[in-house]
Amino acid sequence: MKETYKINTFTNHADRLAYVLIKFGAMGTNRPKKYEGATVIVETIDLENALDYEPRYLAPLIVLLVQHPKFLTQFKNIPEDIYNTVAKIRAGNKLGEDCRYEAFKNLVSLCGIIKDGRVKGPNKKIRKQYRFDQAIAKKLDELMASGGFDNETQLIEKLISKA
Amino acid sequence: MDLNKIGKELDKRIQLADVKSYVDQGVGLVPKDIEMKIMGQIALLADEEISSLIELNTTFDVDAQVKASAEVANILDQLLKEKGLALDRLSDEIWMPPDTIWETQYDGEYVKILKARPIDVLVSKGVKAPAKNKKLIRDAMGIYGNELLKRIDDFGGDSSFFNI
Repeated sequence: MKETYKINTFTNHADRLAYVLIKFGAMGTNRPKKYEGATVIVETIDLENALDYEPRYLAPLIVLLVQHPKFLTQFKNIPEDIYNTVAKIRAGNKLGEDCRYEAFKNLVSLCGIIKDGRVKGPNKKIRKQYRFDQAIAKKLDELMASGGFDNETQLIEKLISKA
Repeated sequence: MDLNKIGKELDKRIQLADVKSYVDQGVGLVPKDIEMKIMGQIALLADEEISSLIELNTTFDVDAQVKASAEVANILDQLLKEKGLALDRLSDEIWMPPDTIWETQYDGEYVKILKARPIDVLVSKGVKAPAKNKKLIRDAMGIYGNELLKRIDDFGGDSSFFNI
């Protein structure tokens, strides 16, 4: 079987990071076409380099890491101060040290943390291909295709009740 | 971001809420002198000229000083939420240059929306948060040149920080 390789569309680390932030609803842009149809290998993003080039990506990056913790393992070399801030927000802390030039309480507000410390999640609906691991998304598609469910919510509820 | 559209929708909802309140409780909302002053990144995004010249990104918080009753503020919160936005509660703490010019974007029956000129927003960012806005100010220097740098210095900032 022929293997296919993903190639980064962008050479610049900041553009690669912007693509991920936009795709997962942590940031908006006035140039959406720039990112349409692009491919980015998350593991290749040098976060410190990206933030040095565009410091404004700090807050959306923290939002992304809080709302989609799978990126905590996908990004290589997450700066320690950012990691600690994310951990504190995910633990439900309302007060903490500011992270570089972003106020902690503003970050908490941006991350959509509700009263009991859980993440409310972004308002924007995110497709399952982006919410789940690719293998899980594929498995859900297969189960849906096998029939017996009116929609994916029914299927997921059934799987949860079996667990 | 179309501020005119938001203004129209807000006016419509306020009118409905006013009528509903009158019917339900015999008292209207008395909506008057409702004013939103838009600042920050949203003001840049809402400006067609600068938005066409510079790539801008934003989180989903709206920096705006809002003068309205609690009932009207709730209607605004709901409207922004439906658009995936949220009002930044710390907006009143944002410093703007004292000579900021506020351009009227919408002047409806109940609501008036004003927006700071892009150069005033950029001066505010350059003076108060230079590290965070380094790239943005550098990009904007291509549009506003020395005028932007001079105003950053005039208000206590350090324009040399943005030298390439």
